[in-house]
Order: sequence, then C-alpha cells, then structure tokens
Amino acid sequence: MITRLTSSASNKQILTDLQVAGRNLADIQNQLTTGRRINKMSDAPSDAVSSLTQRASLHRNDQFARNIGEANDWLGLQDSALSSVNDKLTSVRTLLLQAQSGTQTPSSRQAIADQISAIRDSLLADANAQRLGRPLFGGTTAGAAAFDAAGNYIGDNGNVDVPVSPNTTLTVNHTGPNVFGTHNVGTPTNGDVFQVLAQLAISVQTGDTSAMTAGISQVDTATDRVATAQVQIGSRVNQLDGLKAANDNASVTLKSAISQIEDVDLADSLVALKTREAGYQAALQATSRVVQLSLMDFLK
Amino acid sequence: MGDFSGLNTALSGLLAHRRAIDVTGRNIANVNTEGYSRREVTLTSLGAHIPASLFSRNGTGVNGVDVESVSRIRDEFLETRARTELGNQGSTSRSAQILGRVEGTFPEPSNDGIAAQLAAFWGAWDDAANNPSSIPARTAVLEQANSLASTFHKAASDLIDQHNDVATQLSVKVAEANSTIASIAELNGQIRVATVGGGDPSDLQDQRDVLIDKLTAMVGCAAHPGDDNQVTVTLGGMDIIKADKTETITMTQAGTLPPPLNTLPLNAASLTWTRGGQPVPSIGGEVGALLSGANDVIPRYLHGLDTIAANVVSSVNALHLTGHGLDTINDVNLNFFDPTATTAQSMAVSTDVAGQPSKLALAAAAGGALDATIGHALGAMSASATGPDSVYRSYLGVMGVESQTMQTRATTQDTITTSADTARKSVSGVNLDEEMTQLVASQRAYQASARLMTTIDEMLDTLINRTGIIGR
Repeated sequence: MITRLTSSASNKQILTDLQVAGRNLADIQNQLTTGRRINKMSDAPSDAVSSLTQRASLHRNDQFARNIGEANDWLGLQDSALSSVNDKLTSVRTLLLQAQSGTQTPSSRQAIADQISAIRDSLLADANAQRLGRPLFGGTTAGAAAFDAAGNYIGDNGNVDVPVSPNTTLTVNHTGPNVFGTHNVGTPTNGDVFQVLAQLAISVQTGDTSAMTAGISQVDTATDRVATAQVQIGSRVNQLDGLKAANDNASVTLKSAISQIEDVDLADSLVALKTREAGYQAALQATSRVVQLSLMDFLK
Repeated sequence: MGDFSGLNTALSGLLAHRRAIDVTGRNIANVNTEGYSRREVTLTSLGAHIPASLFSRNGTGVNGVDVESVSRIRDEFLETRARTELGNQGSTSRSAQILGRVEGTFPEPSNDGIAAQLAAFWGAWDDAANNPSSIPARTAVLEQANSLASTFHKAASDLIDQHNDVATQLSVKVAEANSTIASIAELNGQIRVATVGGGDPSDLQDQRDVLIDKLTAMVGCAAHPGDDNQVTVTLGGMDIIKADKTETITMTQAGTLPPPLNTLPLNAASLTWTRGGQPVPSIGGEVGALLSGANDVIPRYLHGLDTIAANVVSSVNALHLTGHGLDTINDVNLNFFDPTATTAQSMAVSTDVAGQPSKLALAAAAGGALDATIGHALGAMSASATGPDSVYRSYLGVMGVESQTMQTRATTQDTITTSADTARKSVSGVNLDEEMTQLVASQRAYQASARLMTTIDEMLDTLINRTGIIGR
C-alpha cells in the first residue's frame, strides 16, 4: 500500500497505464485492419500450428482436385475413342452378315473386304489416340504410338496411376492388349482385333463362310472387351464424381476452419475496439483532470 | 537569561525557517529530475534540557531552533528491490525483443512462408507426374526447388545477420557497462572525500544511484551500502566496484558453440574479467539476455532450420535416387538436391539434374519412361508425419510458444518493475502538495519569528525609552 504519492511516481504510473491502454487499442486496430487474428506464431502458437496443418491439407486437397481433373480427362478421352471403336466393330459385324448371304458376287465381296480393311486402318488410328502427345493405350511408353502400322503393340504394360484422394490411387489407363486383344502369331484368327479383321478381309474375299461365322464370334469377343473397358471407365468416372464432391466439401471445410482460426470475429473485435477506445479515452480524460490538480490552485 | 536573548531566539527561527524554505525550493525545482531524492530538514530545539543538580542554573542563554541536518530521504530496502526488478526487466524485455526478431524471420501462417513454398514444391511434383513427358512441368519442379532453396537461404542469412547484430549490441553494452562502472567508482571516491571532509555529498549520491540503476539494468548486479556513504557493487560473487576500485568485463567472440550447435558458422561470445581472464558467472540484465541470444537462442533456431533443410534434402533424394528419368537406361541414381549441402544456407539442386528437366526421376524402376510413381510419391510427401512440413510446423510451434512466453514474462515484469519503482519513488520522490504545505508552514513560521522579534523590540523599547522617564 502506497500512502505517499509523489509526482514522478504518479507520472510514471500514469504513463505506463496510458501506454498499456494505447497498446491494447493498437493491437485490436491491427487485428481489424489486417482482418487476421493471428499475424505471427506467438499470437496463438497452438492455433497457428493447427492453421499451418490445415493450410498444408488444403494445398494437398487442391492438388487432388487437379489430379481428379487429369484423371477425368484420361478417362473421357479413352471413352470417346472406345465408343468409336465400338461403332466400327458393329459395322464390321453387319458387313460380315451381308458377306455371308448367298447373293454376293466375288466383286461385291471384294468391296466388303475393302471396307473391312479400311475399318481396320481407322481402328488402328483410334488405338493410337493421343493425349498431350502421349498414346492413350500405350501404357507408360515414351513413344508416340501404341501400335505400329502393322498392328503390333509397341507400348508397355505400365499403369497410369493418379492419386485422387489421400487414400485412393486410381489407374486411369487401359493398355492396348487389354482393350484390343493379345497378338497371336500362331493363329492370327484368334489374335488381336487387327489380326482378326485382316484375316476376315481375306475370308470375305475368298468367300469362306465358315471362317466368316467364326469371325463374327471373334468380333463379338472384341466388342465385349471394348464394352468391358467402357464399363470400367464409367464406374471410375462415377467414383471420380464422388471423390470430386468430397474434395470440394473438404476444400470448403478446410477453408472455413482456417478462416475460423486466423480471421478475426468482426463483431467480437468491433465490440472490443469500442470498449478499449472508451477505456483509452477515459484514461486520457482522467489523466488530464488529475495531473492538473495541485494544492497551488487552492493557496492564495 | 539576558534581556536580549529573546532576539537571538527570534533570529534563530528566522534563519532556520529561511533554510527550510530554501530546501523546499530545491525540492520543487528538482521535482522532475531523474534520480533526485527529496531532502528533508530536521529542526532541533536549542536550549538543552537542564539536568537537576546542585549548581544548575536556569537557562544557558541559548534558546531557539537550529537546523540539525538536511537529509536525503531514501528507503534502501525499496531501492534494492527496485534495482533487482530493473535487472530482470532489462533481461526479459531484451530476450523478448530477440525472440520477436527471430520469429519475424518466419512470416507464418501466410501464403509466402516456407510452409507455402514447401506445399508449392510438392504440388509441382504431382503436376509433373500427371504429365511426365512435359518438359515445362518438369522445369516447374526445378524452379520451385530453387525458390524453396532461396527461401531457406534468406531465412538462414537473416538469422546469421541477427546473430551478428546481437553480438555487436553485446559489445556496445559491455563497453557501456564498463564506462558506467568507472563513473560509479569515481563518484564513490568523490563522495568519500566529501563525506570525510564534512561536506554534503547528497547530489553526488543521487548521480551515483542513477548510474547504479543503469548498470543494474545492463548486467543485473547488486549494490550494498557501506561506511562513509560508499557503495559496493557485486556481480556473480565478484566485487566489480569497491570504493574507487573497479573490475571490468572483456567480451570476445571467437569461441565455439557447444554441440550440436558447433557446426554452425557462428562464433560463441564470451565474457571474462579483464583482470585474470576468468569467465563472468551468472550475468543478468540486458547483457545477459544478449549473451544468451548470441550463444543460445539464435544458434538454436538456425540449427533447427538446418535440420529441416537436411530433412528436405534427404527425404527427396531418398526417393529420387530410386527413380528413372526420361532416359530410363542412363538417368538413374540421380540426386535431386546436392547431398553434401544439407544446411539451410547451402541447400541447392544437385548438378545431376540442375537445368536438365528430363532427368527428373519421376518413374519407378519397374515402370516405363512415362511412369510417374516416384513423382506422385514425392507429391505425397507433404502429408508425411516425419516429413519436412511436419518438422517445420513443430519448429514453428516451439518458437511461437517460447516467444509468447517471453512476451508474457516481459509484460508481467514491466508491471512488477513499475510497481517496485513507484514504491521507491513514493518514498524518495517529491510531492508538490507536500512541498507547498511545507512552504506555507515555513513561511508562517518565518513570519511568526519576525513577529517575535518585533514584539521583543517593542518590549525593549518600552523598557529603554518609556520606563523611568518621570525624573527627566
């Protein structure tokens, strides 16, 4: 208990108190002007660390969103290439049924055989479809094509795996043999779709009906392979849609969590600003009154 | 008792109260002088008590008042306490300042600190892995790596600058402390001369006390009053000032830091007694805080930063070495970061891959040229519990807590110091109301003494001029 108040002591005390009040005001002002509650680690160490963790998660989540875009792109391009393949195989089947009919002449069979050969070539183009200069069905090959002009697979069996969520890595490609069948040197009629079509063109040309009948089932097998791949693609696109929604959700959640930690609560801070402002003003006013007071005013 | 002794009594009153008014005037004049202790006049009544004895007579002929002493009002206990707190305040506020600057090197959480740079770096790996054949995407990885490395370089060189700054401040403070020690000792000598010679050393004492306050804030020493108004100042068990003898401090900056900090490119600062060269133990105040800043705080955080940089280098290289570049046959066993440059100051992209984006090993050994297993694995490093991000976050957490604690301590210490200072100033400081009261009292006493003199004069007038005039 201090019973004797001296001017230097009271001046110092007043100054210290005013400085504290002013500093409190400046703190809240700083928070309001930056809009941030945490401007440096020591403002709230544990909150700041948790905010940093959330920020890292948000970055990772944004990266997953980009990866999902990439994966969707891969799957979409493959799907359209495979749709085209599917259409072409259907027309081959129609042509084969036509060629089997007894009314065909050698010249009309030749025309059908030419069409089948043309379709085989355009299938080859589909099989070499590219994305950003990279063959869709070539696995992880660095080459520009999945199949050479003769229809031999020159890609590899590598998977294109894309991490799309913290726990999910999706294989987004189908390799050539997977979609178009395996090359068979011994029995080309039982080989990949290019071998089968080349053999069928010869069978149509020669009018070998039994080979044509066997060929239809080979074409059906090829169509099934393509359809299976398309179904897989469809289900992966579905899965990606779900993941994308979850990703968007996570992004919103993380952003709001970061904002809750880092940003000022405007209402709260404004109330605090008003309170501290009033406190500071009161301190100034009290000081101006008290400092003026002196016995000298009352002595004559 | 003579007839005229009353006049002397009145005169002694006039002189004493005049003196009291002088002292009050001096107090008022020094109301804002730093370190001024108020003076108080002690008056004593003359005409000593007469012991009853055979030959005792009534009155010695001397009556009235005398100024016994003009004393300097101070409470030594409160002074000691205030000084202790001054030393603590010097230390905590300086430590808080040093930590605040260290913390300022890492503007987190933000979009451009090391955390954001790391996130962008891992992201670049994922982007490149999504398009392994794209040279621009691979170049982006190298650019991000350079940017990350230069952020580390900047932080490390900031910390080294801070270390040098603190060492410079330390040498300046030590020099200031030494000159203060010399001044105090000189004042001690002058005070001794004044005291022994019967003079008034109180102004010199005020000056000396101000200097002792300063010295305490600088080095956290303790002062003990002694005979002849002398003060002995001790630091770490050593008398740095005894009478007019001094002991000074020498600062050298050539030692090595204790392990594991000894690998840093920083020299340890050390304080020794100029005479004898023994180390100065338990130094406090600002010098103590600066010493611990230079030898502990800053090196510790620089070492922590190095650990994070080394973690980045080793964890990226560990994966990168197992991968293949675009040329799967020749681009093998490549380091991404230079494995020999594992400090924050030196980390750099290795010459194996610098400027050669095609050599980035995105592909796993078993995959084809456009396999991206390693690339994606590096992208996933951001979530690793032992990876650089996580280590960096704990590093920042420790720094934040230490800085916050020190700030809180500094704020609390400010309050304590102010209250201790107020307590001592409430004793030694000048209160104007009190001085005004004193002034009025002394003035009235002076007037009354003058009135007494007039009265006695009139009495004598009656006696001398108007008594026995009948016969004239």
